[in-house]
Amino acid sequence: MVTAALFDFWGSQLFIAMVFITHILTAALLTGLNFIAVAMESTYYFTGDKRWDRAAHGIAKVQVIAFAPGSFVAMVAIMALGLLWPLFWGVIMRIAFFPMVIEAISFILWILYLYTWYFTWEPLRDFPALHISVGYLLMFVSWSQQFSIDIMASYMLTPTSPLSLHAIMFNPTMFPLDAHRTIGNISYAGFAMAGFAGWRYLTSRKLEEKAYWDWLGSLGILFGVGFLFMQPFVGYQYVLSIRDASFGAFYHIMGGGSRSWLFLIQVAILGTLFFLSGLYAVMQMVKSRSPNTWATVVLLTLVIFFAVWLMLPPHWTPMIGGLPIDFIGQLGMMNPWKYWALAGLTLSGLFLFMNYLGAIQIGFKWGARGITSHLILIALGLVIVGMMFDMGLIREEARRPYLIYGRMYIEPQGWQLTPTNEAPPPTREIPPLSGPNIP
Amino acid sequence: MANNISRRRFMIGLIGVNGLMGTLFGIPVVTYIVAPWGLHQPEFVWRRLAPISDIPLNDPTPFHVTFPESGSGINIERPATCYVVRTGTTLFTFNNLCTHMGCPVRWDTLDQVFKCPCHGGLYSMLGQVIGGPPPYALRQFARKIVREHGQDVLYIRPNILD
Amino acid sequence: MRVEQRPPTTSLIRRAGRYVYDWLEERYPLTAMINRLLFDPVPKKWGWLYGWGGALVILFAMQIITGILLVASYVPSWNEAYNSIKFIDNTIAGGYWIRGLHFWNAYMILFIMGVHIARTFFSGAYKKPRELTWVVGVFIMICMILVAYTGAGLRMDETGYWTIIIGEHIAGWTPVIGPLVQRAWLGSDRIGPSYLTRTFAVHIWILPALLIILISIHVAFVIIQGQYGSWLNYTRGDAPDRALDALHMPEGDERESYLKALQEVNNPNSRKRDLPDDTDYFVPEHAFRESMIALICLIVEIVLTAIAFNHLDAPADPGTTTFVPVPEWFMLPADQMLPYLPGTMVPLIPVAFTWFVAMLIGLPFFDRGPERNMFKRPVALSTGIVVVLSIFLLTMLGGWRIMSFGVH
Repeated sequence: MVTAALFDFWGSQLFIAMVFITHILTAALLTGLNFIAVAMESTYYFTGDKRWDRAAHGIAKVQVIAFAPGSFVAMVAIMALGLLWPLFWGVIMRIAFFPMVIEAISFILWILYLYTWYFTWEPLRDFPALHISVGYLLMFVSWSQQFSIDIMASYMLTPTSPLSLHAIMFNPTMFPLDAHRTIGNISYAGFAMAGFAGWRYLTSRKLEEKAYWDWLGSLGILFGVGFLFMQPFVGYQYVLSIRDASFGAFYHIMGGGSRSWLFLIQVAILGTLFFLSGLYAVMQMVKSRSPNTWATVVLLTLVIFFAVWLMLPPHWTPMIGGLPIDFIGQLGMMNPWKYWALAGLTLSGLFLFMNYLGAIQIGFKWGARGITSHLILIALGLVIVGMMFDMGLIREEARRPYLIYGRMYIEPQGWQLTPTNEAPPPTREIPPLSGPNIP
Repeated sequence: MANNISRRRFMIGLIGVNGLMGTLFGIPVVTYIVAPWGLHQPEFVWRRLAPISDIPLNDPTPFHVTFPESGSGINIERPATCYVVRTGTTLFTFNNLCTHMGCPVRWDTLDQVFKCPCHGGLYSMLGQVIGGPPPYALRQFARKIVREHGQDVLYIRPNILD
Repeated sequence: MRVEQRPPTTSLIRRAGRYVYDWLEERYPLTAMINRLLFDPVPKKWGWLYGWGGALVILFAMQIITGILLVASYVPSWNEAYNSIKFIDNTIAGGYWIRGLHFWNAYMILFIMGVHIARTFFSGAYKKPRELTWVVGVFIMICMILVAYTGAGLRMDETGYWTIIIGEHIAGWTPVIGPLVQRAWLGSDRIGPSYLTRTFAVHIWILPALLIILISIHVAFVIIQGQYGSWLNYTRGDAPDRALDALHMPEGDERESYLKALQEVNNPNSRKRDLPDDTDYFVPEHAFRESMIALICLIVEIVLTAIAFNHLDAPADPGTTTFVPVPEWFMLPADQMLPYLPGTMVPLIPVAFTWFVAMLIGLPFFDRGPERNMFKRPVALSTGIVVVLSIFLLTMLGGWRIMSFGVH
């Protein structure tokens, strides 16, 4: 009879959750930062502006500091999975063996390229092609690490035949998850960079330093929000793939099932991100008296309007003065009203930032800002971490009650503390015949 | 050489002549393109599907039929599929073409929904849209029930747009 | 220039050639045309970036030739079309290769066209005075996409048939004029044999004729105004320095073309006043690059025809319940925008497409700033990157979802 060593079933889940959220927050940040750093270094070669080089160098330094602790957490995660869920771990490692080999090789190469890139920064100053090649290689291996783990992660949600590597790799959600995560990582890294720049702005004294951190914060926002615009599109295709392949999972997290409120939180965070970024852009433009600031303010009000609309829960009919206001419940329906809201939010945010981009070209004085816009940056850095938490929760909830959807349970049976795939499948959550209008 | 004709009269004459030519020429051209013979009603024939008692309950059953179609001097038999859904109280004869962009919809037994592969449209067993971009419920063929040899037999024929 | 350098000779062939040349020269401005067209200054550095347009002309000519050959055997009849294609593939000598080249060349043209458009956009070559070249180019792009799309519908296999069904429904959803457009295309209220004959007319006549006219205008504009290149070709300083540089160049095409370009740049009445700093003659350098690109494309197409199938699915079955329609790859970005516009928003789809095309046509008129350096135009740069990324992502995501449909 197997007894638990230290943790019971819920404790195991909690421990895995804590370890993995730490891992994801670090790994996603580092992967996203690699894209940004390489883009910055390439821009330095084309424009000759030293700020780009300093920013890329700084990102490499952050990586060097954070990589070792992050790897340690990843190792803890692997060992914890092996100790606490051995049956699942054995099965999934057999299924995803070759992707895990690629993962391990990418890990070694990441170490090699990262430390090479950082420590040969100055020595390779006269060999720019070599230097940037190392950077591109680093970006590629960090992406391939994520690519390999996505094969395993997507297989857990939309499994196919476990006998063919082709079927495992090309399962329905592999590429959509990859695209969603890559764009999300760059966006997350951008916002995190902006938050960091905001904090460093507030703690620096000299005007040149403040100018640099101001510029970097703005750049972080542009990366963050720029890739955030793509997320509804990429995420939507991901959700469609989930719906085709694992319909019960889709219904559970978005279709009206018991965890759909998690998506309301996600959309609230999304609205907050757009609003705060737009507010930052408006404040920057106001303080340097850019032309067309009024247009940006108008667009910001539109952003607020659409963000609030998106947050309306469907079928919620508030009573005002005893009368039910049911058009609000209608507006909260995904199909078609929230599509309008999402389109409106994306378009107004897009125009707002195109305005901002145009404004920072002409006579913009970096470093002479007040502190509020930088407090907004720090707030954005925290909000994006909240988004990562929510997305992780949605991910894990989507699979319940399975670990490998439709194949292996998460619930232990009786005395077994580890999952088994011998019990009959439970009733899957499917919508009723005359169900609500779901996306 | 000089004909003492004013420039205005000459231009009007020129434009008038060409305009008249264009109109005369254009009328049959435009008619040919936009309002072709297709307004002619095709012959709508009835196709026999199956006795109603042979159709399982609460299980969409596909039937492949062909309907006559013609054009450009060619007569063809165009295939179509009808999903017949028999619940305890009603009978549906769905055209399997999606109301979004006309893609072939199919019944998924595992998830108990009609799925359209093109853009992820979903219909319930009763044909209602429960997800995806389709704007309307599944269309139905016109149907009639004929008593043959003591059995009720289902016939369908296309509607004008099928 | 070199036409006037004619040493005496007694070789028979040379004398015959000279006789023909002189005969033509008496009657037509042959020397002037050769000097103007063939010995025209074009950018030298990064020259491979600018050869894609010329390669497209060569590939398009190949497409016309293979298309004419296919028309000789294809039958545009509902029941016979598929069989006639199988006949071309299996029975006619060389038929498999002609149809394979026609098929893969179409895809190659669309891909190279995309590269050409991206290059033109990012190097700001649509700005003054080349706005109309860009506008004509947008129309060429639309016609190319349509001609490839209608070509797919002529195969009467499952893929082609369903991709046309989606297209005619999108046309039908257009507000106000939708049903009219749909009926004009289908030749009826429903899909039937008339759609095939009409699509055939569009594919082999209307669109190719339009394309030949538009491409001729487009190329004529480029020749009249001179090739611009990009900001990478303008590294020397102002006019006095440029004239001085010419003295230091070695003898040869580069120096001759540069002096010729300088003449245009310094002439206030010329329309070619923004020629690049480093130039070469169109023949032989640039023509070589364009031909080389076309040759590599041809080799790739031959390899693809040899190893890959000539796309032909099962015959079209309008009543299928198993086939998963996959749109043509170049239609995937547009097709996969459709899920984002559900229910009552569906009539917006043709409106959105029209709006996108209008934005493209109006680009040189929105973006009137004189700056052409990509890194000094952040709005254009970021918009361009977003559009390119979106097209790539929509293609991959949509294609992935469709290809894995039904996998449990």
